[in-house]
Amino acid sequence: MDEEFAFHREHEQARLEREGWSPRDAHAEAERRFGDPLLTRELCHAAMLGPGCSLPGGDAMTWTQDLRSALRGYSKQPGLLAVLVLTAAVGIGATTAVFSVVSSVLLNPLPYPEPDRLVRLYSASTQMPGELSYLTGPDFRDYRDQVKAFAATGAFYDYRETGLDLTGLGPARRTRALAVSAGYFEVLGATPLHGRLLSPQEENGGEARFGSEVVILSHHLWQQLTGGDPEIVGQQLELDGISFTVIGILRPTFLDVLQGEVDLWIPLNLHPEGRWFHRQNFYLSAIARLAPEASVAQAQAQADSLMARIDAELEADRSDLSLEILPLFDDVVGSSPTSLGVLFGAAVLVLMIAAINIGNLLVARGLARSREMAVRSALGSGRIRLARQLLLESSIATALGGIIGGFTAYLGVKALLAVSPDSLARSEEVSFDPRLLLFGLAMIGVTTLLCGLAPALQAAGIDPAKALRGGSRGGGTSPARRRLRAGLVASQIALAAVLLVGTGVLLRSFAALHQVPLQFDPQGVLTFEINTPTARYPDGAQRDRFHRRFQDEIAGLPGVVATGAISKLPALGPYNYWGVTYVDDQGERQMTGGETRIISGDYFGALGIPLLRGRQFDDRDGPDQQPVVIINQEMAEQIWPGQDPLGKVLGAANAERTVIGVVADVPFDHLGSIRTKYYVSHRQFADDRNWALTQVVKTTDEPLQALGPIQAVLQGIDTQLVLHHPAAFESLLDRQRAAQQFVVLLMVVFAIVALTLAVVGIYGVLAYTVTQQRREIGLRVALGAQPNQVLGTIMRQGLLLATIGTAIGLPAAWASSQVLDALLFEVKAQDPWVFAAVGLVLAAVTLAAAMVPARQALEIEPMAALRED
Amino acid sequence: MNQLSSDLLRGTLDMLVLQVLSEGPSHGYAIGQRLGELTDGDLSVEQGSLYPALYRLEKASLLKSSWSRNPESNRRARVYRLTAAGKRRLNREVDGWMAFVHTISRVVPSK
Repeated sequence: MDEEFAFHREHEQARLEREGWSPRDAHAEAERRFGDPLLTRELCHAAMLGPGCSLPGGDAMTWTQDLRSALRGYSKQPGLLAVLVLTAAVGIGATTAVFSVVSSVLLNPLPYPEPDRLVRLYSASTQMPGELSYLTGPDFRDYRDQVKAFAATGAFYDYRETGLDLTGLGPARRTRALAVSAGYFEVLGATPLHGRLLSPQEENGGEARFGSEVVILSHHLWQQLTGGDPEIVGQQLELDGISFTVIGILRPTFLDVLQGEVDLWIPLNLHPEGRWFHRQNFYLSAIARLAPEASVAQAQAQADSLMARIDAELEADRSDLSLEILPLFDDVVGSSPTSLGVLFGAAVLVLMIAAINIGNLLVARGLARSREMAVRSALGSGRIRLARQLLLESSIATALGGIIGGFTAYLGVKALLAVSPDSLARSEEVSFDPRLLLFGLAMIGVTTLLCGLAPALQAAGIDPAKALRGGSRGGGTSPARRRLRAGLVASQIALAAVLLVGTGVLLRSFAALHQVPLQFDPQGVLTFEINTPTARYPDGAQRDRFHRRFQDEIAGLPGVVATGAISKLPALGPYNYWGVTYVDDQGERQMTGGETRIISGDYFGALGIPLLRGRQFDDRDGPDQQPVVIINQEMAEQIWPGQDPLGKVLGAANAERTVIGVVADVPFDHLGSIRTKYYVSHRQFADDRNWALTQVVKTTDEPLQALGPIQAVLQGIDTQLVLHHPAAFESLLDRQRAAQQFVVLLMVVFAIVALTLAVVGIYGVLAYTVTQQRREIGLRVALGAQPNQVLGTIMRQGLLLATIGTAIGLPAAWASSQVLDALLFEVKAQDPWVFAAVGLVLAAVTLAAAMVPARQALEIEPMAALRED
Repeated sequence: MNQLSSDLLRGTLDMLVLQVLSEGPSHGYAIGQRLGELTDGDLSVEQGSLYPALYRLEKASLLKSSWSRNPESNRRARVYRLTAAGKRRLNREVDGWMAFVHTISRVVPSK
């Protein structure tokens, strides 16, 4: 075909030359007289396809023709197609990725039968409004046995650090254990893969630590230990040196959403003679399954009247206490909805910006093709058919983009979860699900409509006669169409402004979080946990001897500055908030509470926590000596304001303890919160309970390098002990902040994408304006306009777009930023600095985007521009 | 000047092409030139717009085309010739056109 056309033009050129035209002019004139070769070829293809082609109609034949025509169009502009597809992929990929997390965490019901009937039970006290605490053993037993609205009730011992050393099968390892009551599995509707689950008799262990020596293994631990041998049921395992009988294996589908990855379950001791089983010890977490037909309100009423009856029997005034019943789903998901909602909103903004960009490119392409469209229309193509053709073209781009985007979303989610494994509730359940495909398809559809509508409407509005008369470049310069494109770009900037403000505020909050004064120095500190199993370390003296010998030997290692141990590291969350008593000035015994910490060795020295008054624990404070306690400044000021606390007596951790020192406050969580806290020497506590201690070793080097020598020291003392969960303290603190990090990271990515798309939009419109106004600009230069005047015209147009977009976007951001408040730390959502910064960034970016087309305008040669057309 | 409007042309271009080719086989450029001569330049269309009509007529088996070497240059030229069906169609179209013109001219007085 091209050969035929070339043949035609050569003959015409030759004829014109014979008429006296110069060869160059004859060439140009021949091309002009022939008309647009691309269009002609298009029309010839259409003609060859058959008689139905140029007639309006909707049969399958014309659909395939339109499809072929669209593909042919793209094959001539592969760059354009690539840009369209990538833009669509970014938008669809972002929304699909976030949706996959949203659907797993927020939309999927909990993975248990009839999940709507599951509830979580807490104690609430009017003395501590807004704070929920655990249940006492007797209260739990009474609710379980007497509240008829509960079909089943289960308790568990909810300290995440609960672990047991497993020996006897391969090398010693520390396992994550959850102590549960017999009803626990019944509530969750779990059934065993092999063996059986717990029976009620097995929660009656008398004075023992556990209800009985039986254990249920998780599917993954069973696989790791035996490779899947069911014969292990009935055999013995050593846990903390005690022999346990394996009674069952759970199914691989059983997920413990309350505690995450649990290795094994052992029975709680709920026997009335168990030492923690009294109405002052709030230590049990509880869940329940509502009976069929029963409501939360019924359960609440039954529980309230039950408590009133019991209090009357006991003659105790506990009227401040009540049972709080929460849907288990809400309890598990916690604060995730807000952050996921924000992320989803951000992803939708990115999708909208991407769709507008695609629409804008298609409008520009539509302008360049308005003559083709006009000819088609003149040849009998209906306007609906033309609009359909354009929608088809945009849907090719969005469908390809959707496929790529969906695939990258799938990989992206995996990558994001790998970045911050602990940050999301239920993240272990996030997986690919068929709803995602539906969602992806819906996104493609919406994007196609959004993108294709503007150009399609515009094409339908083309007046064929006008467009045909309008010279070879077509009637593309009408003010209405320029306004359409400018409006699209301004709305893009507005959307980007909303996203940037959200990201800016979150970034500031994130920065504030990192600047929380810790009041201690985690740098160079290695931490790990050591448990001394009761079976081999039966009394406090032996446990104390082990820790002192271990710490002495570590202190002798090269590079070690100080070493100590504590029951729970600071800044990583609350733990063991116990009641304490003291005698006030009037001689009345008062009760308050404090975080309980058991320490050994030079704990304060290893973390650099200053001693403000008195002394540290030393050799005087043996197990048979006067019980002593060190309190933090907060506790000193709260209990004995304006007095010297040294020598006062505090009833804490099962003894009347004399205060011998006051240390500086250190936060108990990553937000820098301070609570009353007291420290008890391990030597004066180890006989009471056998707690695993977390060691802190201050080194001069990279902390993990000290691990090898320390491991060797441990082996030298006791080969069966497990050095559990070794980590640099700083990395533990980073993980605490990971929840925020996940949101911030995604928001930053979204904001960068949005800004890039907006820049492309601004650039596209201005570059097109320059092309359209070549003649005008050329004329002005010819009439003596200075370069900076030309530059100014283009830059002004860019700034106008940015100003309109920002003027809409910043108020919209202001109005919508309140949803962020729940996620923010020490920063207001409506932070004026962020708003100012976003305005400046948008202005700067607009100017940068306008520079390139403005320079192109400068390079226009007036004579060349005027000669065209 | 008495330019034929493109609307009127659209319906009749096929017939004109068939008419030119009834004089003998010809290539696209020559058909265009001949059309121009016969109408004294009254047909002002872009020359390229002839080709879709040629392809359409060939698709409808009214024309046949073949490549032949042009003696003047070393380019190949695509030469179109009328098929039997094309001749029959031309006769029918001309009859219809004459009837149409006859009817119209009874209503519209000629200048």
